[in-house]
Amino acid sequence: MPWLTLSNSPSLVERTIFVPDDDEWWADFIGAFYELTLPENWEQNGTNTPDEQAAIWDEALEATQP
Amino acid sequence: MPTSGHSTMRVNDYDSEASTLQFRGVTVTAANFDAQFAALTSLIDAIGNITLGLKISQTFGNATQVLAPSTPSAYPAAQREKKWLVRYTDGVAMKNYRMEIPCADLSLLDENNRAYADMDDASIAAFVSAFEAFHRSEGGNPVTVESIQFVGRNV
Repeated sequence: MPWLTLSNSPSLVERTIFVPDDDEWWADFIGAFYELTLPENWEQNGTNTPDEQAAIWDEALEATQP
Repeated sequence: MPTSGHSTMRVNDYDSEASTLQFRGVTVTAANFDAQFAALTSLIDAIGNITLGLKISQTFGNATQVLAPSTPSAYPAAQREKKWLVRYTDGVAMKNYRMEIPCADLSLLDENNRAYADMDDASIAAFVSAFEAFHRSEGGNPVTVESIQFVGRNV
């Protein structure tokens, strides 16, 4: 089941999350995050195309640090 | 006769679950065949040093070499869900790409940045060099590896 694309292109914001303190748990979190960066996981609903929506999440993933 | 430079490598994990890696080389011709095959061989050998998966087949252009399709990796830690996520760029088209390498060898994680592979490690550096020598972007341009991140996937 894909997510639905939106119609805006927000800038990134830094937020705080809590994750298990272990390399492999972090890798699984990043793997789950990675799904948002794949165009095939998006269905166009707003004006953003799946490629555009995925690209914004890719910027967020690249900026995410452990 | 020129043929596609598209090549693949297939590896098994410890449970004999297979994964396929795909590479886009320059178009193969009689003039560059030997050089391209050598470059692909170097790349596949380099990948063998950063993954715990077992190579079971490879293709080069329209030639397929099958080695041991049902043989599992000898390493229990070889799991295809553990990936190296390779980020690379086409500096001409200014476009970003990614590829995944299954069965990441986690001994190669950077001690100072444990979400990523140690880019100074000799095995990682050899992969980067071999990948940049063989692989091309969708536009046919050379590529540059930017980072190699450890990710867990639910494949």
